[in-house]
Amino acid sequence: MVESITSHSQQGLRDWLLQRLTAIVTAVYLVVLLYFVCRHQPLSFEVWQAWCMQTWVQVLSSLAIASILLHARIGLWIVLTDYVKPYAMRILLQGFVMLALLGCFIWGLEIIWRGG
Amino acid sequence: MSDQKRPVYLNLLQVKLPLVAMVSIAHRMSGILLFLLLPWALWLFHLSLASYDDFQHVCVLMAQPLHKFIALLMLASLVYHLLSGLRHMLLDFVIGESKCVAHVCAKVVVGLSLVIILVLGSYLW
Repeated sequence: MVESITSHSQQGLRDWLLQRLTAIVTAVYLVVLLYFVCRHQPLSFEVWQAWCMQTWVQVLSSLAIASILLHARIGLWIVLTDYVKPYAMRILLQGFVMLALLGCFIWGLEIIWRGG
Repeated sequence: MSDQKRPVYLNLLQVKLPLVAMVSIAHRMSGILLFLLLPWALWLFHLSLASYDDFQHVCVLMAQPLHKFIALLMLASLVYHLLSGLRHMLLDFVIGESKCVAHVCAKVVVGLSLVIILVLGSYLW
């Protein structure tokens, strides 16, 4: 058994896979969104709201926001462990990132499912 | 350790990074930027769905230089992050194993990003 020095759990492969999966989900969402917006120029409030409030769009949006935040969590974890050496500082920053992302997730879901 | 006498002093300002390294670092920087700008995007998303008046307010906001600039910044980061992310995936799946291919790939990412950002940017402005 190789001793892990970068993390306590064997999370490397899982994170690697998750990073790519979430990237693909986000990209799909962005393409769908871009396609819709381009097809309905100039965009009116009624059309925009009606589109966003469809169940499949709400589900896709929810998947996208979850993906973006998971993706950001992994990405920022990598960046922070690479560049922030002092342990306390890193933990503090990682905690801040986690809270910010969790907050964005809840806020995002609220917007998606309640409409604004 | 056998090589304890190795030089430890590196003048970072004199280290010339290859393009591939620059592309990789820019991927990280655009990612951080996207994270920082996410609340701004969510705020606009919220306003755009809240009510008819709020939707109109978003249109007014987007005409202001500050928000237009943030939108362009986010758009540019997004396009670049997406394309250089695709490059990462290509490298994963063997295609970019050789140094030469990785270099060409990095050039393509930079060039293509610039073109798309310019086209979308001029459209948005």
